[in-house]
Amino acid sequence: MLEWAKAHSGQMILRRNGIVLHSLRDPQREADLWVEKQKFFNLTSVETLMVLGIANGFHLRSLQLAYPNQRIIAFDSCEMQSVVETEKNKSSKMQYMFFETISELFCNEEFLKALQKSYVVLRHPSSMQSSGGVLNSLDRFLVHRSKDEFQRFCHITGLSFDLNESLLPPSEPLSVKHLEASLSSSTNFRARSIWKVLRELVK
Amino acid sequence: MKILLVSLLRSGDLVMITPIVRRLKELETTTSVDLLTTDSNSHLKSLLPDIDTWISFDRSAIQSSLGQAENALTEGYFRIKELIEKIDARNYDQVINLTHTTLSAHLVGAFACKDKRGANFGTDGKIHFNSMWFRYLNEVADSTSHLHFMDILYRGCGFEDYPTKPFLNESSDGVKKAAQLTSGKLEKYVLLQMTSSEEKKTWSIKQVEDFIYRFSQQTDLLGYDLILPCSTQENEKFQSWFDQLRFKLKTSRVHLIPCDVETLYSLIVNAQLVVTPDTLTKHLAAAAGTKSIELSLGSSYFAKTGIYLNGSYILQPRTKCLPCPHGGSCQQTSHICGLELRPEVVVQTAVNILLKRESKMTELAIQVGAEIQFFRVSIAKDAGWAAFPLLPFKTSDQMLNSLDQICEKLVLSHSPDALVSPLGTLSREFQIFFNQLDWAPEEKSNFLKRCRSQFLEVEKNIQQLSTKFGNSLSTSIAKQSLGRWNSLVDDAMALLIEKNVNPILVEDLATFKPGSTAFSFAGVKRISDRILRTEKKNEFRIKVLRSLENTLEVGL
Repeated sequence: MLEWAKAHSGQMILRRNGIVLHSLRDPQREADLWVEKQKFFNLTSVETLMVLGIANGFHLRSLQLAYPNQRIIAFDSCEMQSVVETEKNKSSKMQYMFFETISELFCNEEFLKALQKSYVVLRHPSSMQSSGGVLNSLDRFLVHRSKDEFQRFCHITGLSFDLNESLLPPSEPLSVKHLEASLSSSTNFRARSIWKVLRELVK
Repeated sequence: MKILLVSLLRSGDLVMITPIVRRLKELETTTSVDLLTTDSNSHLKSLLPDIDTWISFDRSAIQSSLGQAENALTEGYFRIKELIEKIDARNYDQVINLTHTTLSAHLVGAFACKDKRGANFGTDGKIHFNSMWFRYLNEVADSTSHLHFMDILYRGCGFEDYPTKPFLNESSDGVKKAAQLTSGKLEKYVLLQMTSSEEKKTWSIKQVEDFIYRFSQQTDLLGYDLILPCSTQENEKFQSWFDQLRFKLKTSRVHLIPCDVETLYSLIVNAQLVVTPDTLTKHLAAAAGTKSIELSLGSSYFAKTGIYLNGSYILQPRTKCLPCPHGGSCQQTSHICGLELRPEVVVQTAVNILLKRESKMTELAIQVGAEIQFFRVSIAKDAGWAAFPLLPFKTSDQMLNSLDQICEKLVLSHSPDALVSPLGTLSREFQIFFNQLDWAPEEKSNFLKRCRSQFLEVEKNIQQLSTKFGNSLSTSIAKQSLGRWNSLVDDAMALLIEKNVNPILVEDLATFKPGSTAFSFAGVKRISDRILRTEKKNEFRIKVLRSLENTLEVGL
């Protein structure tokens, strides 16, 4: 359920399922601090920043200012579509995507294209918390750290590593080590080389 | 010709490849020289204007993405894929890998460029080098190699001489900032680098204090200031210590200067002397042509990465655990090597250099010879880098090692097309060194006799081995074609190889011993190459030995 609340500064802030999506005290400062925290991921060298949670967009505008060369795709559940001012202060490099189940996104060509380039997933905590699990399921797909999610990711994106999938552990989280081992007899030389480089990096 | 150089190690290693960049740029066929290096080396960008395009390998970001559950598992994959695509799109005519790591060999192997030099994995899963020098580097990377990396990398690129020194350009920002920091007041100063990437390579703070105290006492009269450069982060750590120290010493001639690399380089350019245990600082000093004292402590292996500047001094304590492995902290209960390299000896060395009393250096080396070794760097255009001890060798083993080192270089340099072999220069240098030994004539003559019989025995063994290996190989190939396995190397041959050729081949040998069912052509090639190299090396050893015998006969 969506409601509006008024911040101390007079700005209108969304409340979803009882959770306020931005700080009522100072939403802009909160957004700037959030962007500052994301620096850890070194965002300048990836193609796309996938942001889970649109809310009132304070954090997206700060992100855009800090990373003007990066493409930003922000996701949220369908219920937000009617309340979010989709064009306000939005550059051509920013895109909003609304969905109920992630399979809806698999029909979106822009989304599929973005999956085949480097990206970083950034999470807007209050949006994640209030989305009723919608954003969390997208999160799991985007990071694909389990065998099932990884296979699903490869299937959706059409990525073919020529893996020996029987060597992937069914339950424990996937790591570079597992992938490199399951690629040892792959005919895809470039993919094999890249995973070997990654393996060397974590040794 | 568009060339891409790959250097994925640290900043010091990047400075070591600058002679290659300079030479490549001088070639008429070269249109551009680009560099792929880690993002952490970007602070050297302004000092290396010869590089046309810097391509960053975002090592730290990729590494952290791999270990974080909140990052996509394929993030690193796509980051590297995009990097490879970017490089392929630039259509390089040649890629030279100047990094001897498995990581770089896989990365370079994945590039589409056909002409690759240096370690790279091929589609066959095997490692290729396209140069004897790079192959040598791979064979000896973790062993007690005795050739300087700068020589190996430079020669590996196909040049037929040796580098003279590293090359960097001062940046205008660096010049400006250095001038501001020294306020135009410091005319004559010595620069002491206190820190390094590894703590075990440095002195303790107490020893630094001792150095500063003794240095101030000695040089106040001579009018030298002492600069202690540090990074801005280090400045916070050192400032209060430094304020107390200055108060205690009652001197205004010591300065703690926080600066970036380009400013540090400009400070070094204007310094009268640099004292450093740090790899980057010593290579900056070499590029600046500033006289230096290298303190070889911890994991510093000066024979591989020593300061590349003629006339520089290297001081190394005789601590048994030196050099220790890279990474980690010192495994001893106290930092023995640091303690044994006493500050007063370094101060004395510095004063001798500043007062141009280098003749006194041997005297000092004799005085402290039991604990500290003094080396003087010598660079020859046709022989490369060498660090000669100020005190002649005491044992014949040391002499033999040195001879071996010279001959290894000769083998790697040997090209049937080369008009002039560097044998003359190297053996002359060795003669001079041999003549300086304070051994009795009889001792010298015995040494030569022993060498002669040892080398002749190797010659005999290698000839025998060469014939046996050739015969065994043809029999083995013939039998294999009939579907029967025949071991290529019998025990006697294995012993000959192990003893005379190279212990590195032990793994290859295991595949050929009786009972083994594997057959590797690459292994056969490695063994036969090594036999040939050993034969050649022994040939050179005998030639150098003959020239030594001649000098002894004429009583030089």
